[in-house]
Amino acid sequence: MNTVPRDGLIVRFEGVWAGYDGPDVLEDMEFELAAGELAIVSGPTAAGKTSLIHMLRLALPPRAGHATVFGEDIGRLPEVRRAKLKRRIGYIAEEPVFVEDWTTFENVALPLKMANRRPGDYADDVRDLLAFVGMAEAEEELTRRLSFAERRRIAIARALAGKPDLLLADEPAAGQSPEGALRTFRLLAEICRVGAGVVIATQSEHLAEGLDATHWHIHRGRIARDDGAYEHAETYS
Amino acid sequence: MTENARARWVFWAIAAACFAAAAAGLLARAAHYMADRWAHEATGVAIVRVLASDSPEQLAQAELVIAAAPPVARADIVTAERAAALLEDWGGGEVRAADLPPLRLVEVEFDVDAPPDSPQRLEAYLARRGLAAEVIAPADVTTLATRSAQTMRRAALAGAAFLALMMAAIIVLSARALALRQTQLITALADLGATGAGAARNVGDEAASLGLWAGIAGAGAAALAAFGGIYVTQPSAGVLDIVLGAHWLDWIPIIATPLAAAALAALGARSAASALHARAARLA
Repeated sequence: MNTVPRDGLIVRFEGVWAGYDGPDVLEDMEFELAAGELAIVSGPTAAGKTSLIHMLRLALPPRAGHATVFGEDIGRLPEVRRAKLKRRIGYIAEEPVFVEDWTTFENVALPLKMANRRPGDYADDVRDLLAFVGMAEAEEELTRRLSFAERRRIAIARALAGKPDLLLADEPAAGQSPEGALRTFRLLAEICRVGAGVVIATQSEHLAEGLDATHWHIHRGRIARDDGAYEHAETYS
Repeated sequence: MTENARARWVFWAIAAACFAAAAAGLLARAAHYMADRWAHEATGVAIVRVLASDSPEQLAQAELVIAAAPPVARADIVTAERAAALLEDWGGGEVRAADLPPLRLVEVEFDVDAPPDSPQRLEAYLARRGLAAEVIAPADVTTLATRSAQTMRRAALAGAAFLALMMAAIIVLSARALALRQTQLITALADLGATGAGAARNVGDEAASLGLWAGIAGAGAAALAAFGGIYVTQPSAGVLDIVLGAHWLDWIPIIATPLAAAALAALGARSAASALHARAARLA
C-alpha cells in the first residue's frame, strides 16, 4: 500500500551530501516536500539541479546525511524496496527518450505495460492522459514525427501514467516557446491537486510566477529556501 | 532500417540457424540408423557347425533348435548345393555338390537389434539345450564392424553437437544485436524506474517469443525435409508409418530446437539489455 508519512512530508533531506565518482556535487542539503506541494528549484547551469532530481528519483545515493523519500531512508534501501519505491516516482528528463518508432499511445502506455497491465485495461487511461496534455489527436502519431514541445507533453503524460505520488521534472521549459513553457508549468502544477508532490528544476523560475509553489534556489551544490526575492548572490557569498 | 524490419531479419536468421541445428540432429539420427544397419550386415550372420550330427534328421532337428534361439532371426542348413555355389563364387572353379562331404553347417542371421555378442550368446544357449555346436563368427570382422559403427555414431553426434553450438552462438548474437538496437526502449525503461533486471526481463521475454516462433519455423522445415527424404528413399512407407516408426530420440532435435532457441534468444537479449540499462542509468 502506498503511504505518506504522518508529517505529510514525502521528501526530507537533512544535511545530505552526494556526488558521482569525484568530489561532492550536493553539499549539506536541507530540503523537504509535502504531498500536494509544488517545489520550484531554480539555479544556474551546473548548480546541482539535475543531481538533486537524480537523488529524488533514487538514482544517486546520498554519501552522508539523512535522506528519506516516502518515509524510507534512501541511503539504506535494499534493491527490491528501492525498485518498489521507484514505481511511485514519475520522472520527466531534460531530454526525454522515447521509442521513436512507436506511437505516442504506445510510449505513454509503457509504464503500464511495465506494471503488467493489459492493453484493454489501460487504453482509456492513456487516452485520458493524452487529452490532459492536449495531445488527444496525436494518439496514433509516431513519436519521431512530434515537435519538441509535443514530445515534452508526451513525456508528462508518460510520467503520469504510473499515477506517481512524486513527480520530478528536469528543465521542462527547455527548448520551448514562452507559451509552451508556461503551459507545461501549469500542467505540472495541476498534478498537485491530486495530492502528488511535484518538483520542477528550472533555470526559468519566472515561469512559476503566479503558481502556488515553494521556491528553492540552488547554487554550487547548496540549496536554500527562497522567500520570494530572486537575488541570491548574497546567500552563497 | 526500422525496428520491425530488423526484427524480421533476426527472425529469419534464427529460423535458418534452427533449421541447420535440427537438420544436423536428424542427420545424426540417420547416421545412427545407417551405422546400425551396416554393423548388422557385417556382424549379423554366423555359421553354426553342429557337432555329432551324422544324419540329416539330426541336422534338421538341430536347425529347429537353432532357429528358436532368442537372437536368431533365420536359420538355414547349408546344403551341398549352397556350399558348392559359395565355393564357386569364392574360388572361381567349378565345384560339384556331389563331391562335397556332409557339411553339418547351419547358416544363421541374427535379429536386427541383436547385441554384438550374439554368437557367444547363441553358443551358450545351444549348450544349455544340450546341442553340441560351435558358432563360427569372424571375431576380427565383428570387432572392427562394431567399432566402426560406434565411431560413425560418435562422429555424427559430435558433428551435430558442434553445428548446434555454432547455431546457438548465432542465435545468441542475433538476439543480442537486436536488443542492442533497442537503446531507446531501455533508456526509457531506465528513466521510468525499471531496474536492470526488469529491463532485461522485458526485452528478454520478447526475444524469447521471437526465438520460439523462429525455432518452430526452422525445426518444422527440417522435420518436413526429413519426412520428404524418408518418403523418397522408402516410397512404400506412409506418413503414419514414418511417424509411428520413429524412435522417441528422433523427435528430440525437432522439439528441443525451438525451446533452446527461445532460451538462447532470451539470454542474448537479456545480456544486451543489462549492459544498455547500466549505460542508460549512468548519471555522471
